[in-house]
Amino acid sequence: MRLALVVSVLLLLVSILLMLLATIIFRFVRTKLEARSATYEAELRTMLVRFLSEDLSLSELRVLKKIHSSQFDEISEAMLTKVKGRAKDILVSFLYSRGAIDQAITRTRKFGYLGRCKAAMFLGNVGIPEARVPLESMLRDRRRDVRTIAVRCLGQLGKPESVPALLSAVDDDEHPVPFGTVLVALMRIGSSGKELMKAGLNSGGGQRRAAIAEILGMEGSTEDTPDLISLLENDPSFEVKVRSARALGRIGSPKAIPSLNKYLDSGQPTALRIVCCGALAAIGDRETVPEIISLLSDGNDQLARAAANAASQMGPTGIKYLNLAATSNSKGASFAKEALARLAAQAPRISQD
Amino acid sequence: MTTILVADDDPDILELVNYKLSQSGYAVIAVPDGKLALEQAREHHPDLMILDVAMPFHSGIDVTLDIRKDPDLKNTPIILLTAKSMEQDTERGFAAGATDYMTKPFSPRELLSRVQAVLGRTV
Repeated sequence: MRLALVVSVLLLLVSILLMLLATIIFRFVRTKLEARSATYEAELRTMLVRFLSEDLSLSELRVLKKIHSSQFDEISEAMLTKVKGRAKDILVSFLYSRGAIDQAITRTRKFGYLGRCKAAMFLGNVGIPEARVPLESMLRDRRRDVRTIAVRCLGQLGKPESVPALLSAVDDDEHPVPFGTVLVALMRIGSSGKELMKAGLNSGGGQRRAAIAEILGMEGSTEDTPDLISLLENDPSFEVKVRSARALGRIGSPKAIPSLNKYLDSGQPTALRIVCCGALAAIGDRETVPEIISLLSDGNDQLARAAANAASQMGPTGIKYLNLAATSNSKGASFAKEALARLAAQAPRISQD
Repeated sequence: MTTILVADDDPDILELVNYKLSQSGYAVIAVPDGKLALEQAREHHPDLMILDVAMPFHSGIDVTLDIRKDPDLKNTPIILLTAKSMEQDTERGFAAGATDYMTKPFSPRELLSRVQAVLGRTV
């Protein structure tokens, strides 16, 4: 019995010692490998820099052993986001010659979603036209994060041809993508995609038209005012109407005033009335101040407060009317006082020093 | 020989800029952070400094402010190199006393042209 106990304790001690030894050996080997990898990385980075500076030819790079060449590819991929111009062209040609671009295109259809994400980011960073079609296919990927990355990368690629696919993506209920990410992508594509974007006004769902209205407002071109007025007045979607009103305010064309005024009416939804009020203030035509001030007496306090704030942003005329409202006995006096107080608090402090 | 001090915490960019400038005949001092940049600038009095804005310990803007306060170094031209392309960052850089500004991703050739232009005006 006692012997069995001694043997068990000894076995336990031996196993602990063996485990400790194995840990030490593992750590030692790992440190050595990391140190070697770091040394190689530094050498490979120098080679890449020489290659990008055209001091090293492609044939000279072929001497790399297989294990080093994959590390070299990783460093090259990391460099993609850091350089532009001739250096980037050299890098992209090199990655082409290594087959890295074709491999990434194949990886966009692979099972592992992390691999698909990496492939999309790589294609976005490479920035070649051939990346567009595989990235557009990824907008229907089964994973939302992959679709989101694809949207971002299409924006990074900046090809106007991607506009229809991006607009379809915002309407796709089966494969939803974040609305804001699509807006950023469309903004990055910029005015070169505008015609294709405006063509989307006559087809598809409300989310698509909402996105178009938002982008037109952000671009701020007065030539888009009629399209936005038409969306505000005729579109069946409430969201499209709200976004169009806000876009009209951003553009600032006085041509939008009659339409915006129409939607201040009490029969309209409060959110739309508030946005139209803000849009009128953004356009800043002093003729519209009395109309906005009249909203201070509206039964809806939220709208009355928004109207007071809007008037406070309309220069001396707005302030004059607010002062009149503040000294009156009307219901809106408190909102006018509140807006004037906020304005006073925002005024810059002037010191004698 | 014209000496250029380069500071960037990204080893890829540090090496690329270092190589490109050395290849063009400049003596380069390459450092990975702002504190070292300041120390090396005080020791070697470079003819030009290229600084990354977002660096550990001391940002490129902090270094620029310190250089402009130093009587021995205050006239050293400084090019800021940064990933931030926002207008306010450019303004902040120039307000701190930067001579020129480049955003990442950058073209090594363009950087070299800017270096030559800045040195042509000052050296």
